[in-house]
Amino acid sequence: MTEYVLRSSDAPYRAWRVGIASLLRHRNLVLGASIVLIVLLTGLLAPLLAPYDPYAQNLSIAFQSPSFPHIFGTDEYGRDMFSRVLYGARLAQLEITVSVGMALVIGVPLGMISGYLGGPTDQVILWAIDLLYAFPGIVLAILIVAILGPGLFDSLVAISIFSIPVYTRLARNLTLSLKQIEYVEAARALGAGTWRILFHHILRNAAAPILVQATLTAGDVVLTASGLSFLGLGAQPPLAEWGAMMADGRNFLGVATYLTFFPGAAITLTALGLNLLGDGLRDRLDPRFHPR
Amino acid sequence: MRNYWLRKILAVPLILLVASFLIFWAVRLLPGDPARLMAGMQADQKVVDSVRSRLGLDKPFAIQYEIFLRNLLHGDLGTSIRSHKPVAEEIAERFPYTLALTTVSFALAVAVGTTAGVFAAIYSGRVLDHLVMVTAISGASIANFWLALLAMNLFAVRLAWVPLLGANSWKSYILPSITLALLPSAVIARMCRASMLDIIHQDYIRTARAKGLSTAKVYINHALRNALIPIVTIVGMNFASLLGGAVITETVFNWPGLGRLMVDAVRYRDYATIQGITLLTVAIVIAVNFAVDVFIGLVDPRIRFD
Repeated sequence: MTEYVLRSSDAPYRAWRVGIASLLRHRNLVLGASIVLIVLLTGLLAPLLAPYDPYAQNLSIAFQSPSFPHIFGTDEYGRDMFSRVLYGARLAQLEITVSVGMALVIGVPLGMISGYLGGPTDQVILWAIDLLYAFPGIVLAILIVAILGPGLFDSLVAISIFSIPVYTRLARNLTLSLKQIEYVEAARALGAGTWRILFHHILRNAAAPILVQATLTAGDVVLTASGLSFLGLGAQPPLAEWGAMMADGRNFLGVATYLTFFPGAAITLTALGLNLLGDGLRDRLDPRFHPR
Repeated sequence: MRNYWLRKILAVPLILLVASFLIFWAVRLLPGDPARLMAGMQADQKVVDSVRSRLGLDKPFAIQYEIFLRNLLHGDLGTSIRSHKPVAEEIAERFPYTLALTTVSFALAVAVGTTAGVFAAIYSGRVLDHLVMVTAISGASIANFWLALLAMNLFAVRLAWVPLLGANSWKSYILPSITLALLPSAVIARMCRASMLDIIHQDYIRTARAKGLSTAKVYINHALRNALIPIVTIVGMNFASLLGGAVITETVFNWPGLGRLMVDAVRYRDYATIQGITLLTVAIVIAVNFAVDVFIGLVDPRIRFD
């Protein structure tokens, strides 16, 4: 990173230029963060922003093309699509929080233990990960959904299970390199226990690259979760979930294409925001970490 | 060196065996009594019991697994509850469609991805590079079922250039294969660019240039050949995601392949079919990963001596 020295005399002008320059250099980061922020706020403020109740049916206004007052049109039950898409952001946030959260909570400690202990423990964990990698994500998710039964929460469990290996492998590699560093050896010499070293010394220093990975997988989570709902295996109607809304709207393709267009655009925009943000963060962190 | 190959080759049946056990065990967890489902809801208990003993479901778990493995070796994957046909037969009927679709998409993804990635690296920092990178990140973010539906609406419904659904002619392949190839070509392009950029700054590339070789020769003979290992690895890994993506693409386009069969099987709790398709998919992924390992081992002698 270049350090900019600001002089008091030209501070306002220079600060402005530096600001623009760093915006341009990190445009992925800025664009991604803005999109993610918008989606986040949309979800949080959905009840305030939505002009209508997303579940209120009114058959007399079914299938209205996008126009005022229904700017995204209405569906076959006369529900306002704009309000439904806004509320969909809440479910997308739920999907990300639950799936990424579960995968992190299971995957990261597993990887840290694997990297720190080495030996047979490491071998067994690595082997289990390789085995999980042999199942294509969606196929594994469908198998798990078949066992648990279709539903939003069950599909999220399925997604988190197949994203575990990514975190385990990353946490393992980071732990392998971090455990050689002096302050970890110093902590060990001072008599710190394994758990203390793992959580106080290694996890804190591995947190940044793990968060970058979490941002990148969050984009995949939105795509996969809405994909499963689209297949009828995730969120079920009438839930205002983007994938489920598209599954509904698919039956009216060509007649009312807007029913699939807006929820799909919301999915893509959210995934794009998360991918740009993750990419931008990774570029900033890259000089220090090269997880392989 | 012989050890390397021995380990690689022995790992394949072992991982297949463990995967088959996991799938077998997972499918036993499915809700509902398969004997009851097979006999029909109205059938009386005697019939259900006879079905159960015919399927071997009254035997201990370990014996059931042994029978399952023995049948598997004879190519018997059980009977579908939904169609009452052997699962192996149903899979054999559907598999060629999935294979054709994934092969076309895979070839497309590799061709487009590597070309775009190599050119982005050559022109790094210029307009072409930015264009490729913007396209790649959008391609990785787009919901492919959304794109599929929009493309269907435009090219099949409105313009009627291609058939709407099914797999009836070569034209039917256009939309599904492009949709399916989008994500892997984006991933391959990014990986390809990154590994080419790593290599372009190496000393031996400077030497090759200093010798007076043409740019094209330097890039193709020296840079691309050395960038091949990470590229092949990522290409191999993408085959698995391609097979997974096929499930959604097939459903959107009503493609008569395995992906749709699997989604239908879940709806009907047709556990033998779910089991058979999962097994086949996992076997394919393991085979592709093995092929990638073999290829890399052949191309890069350093790896074999690790």
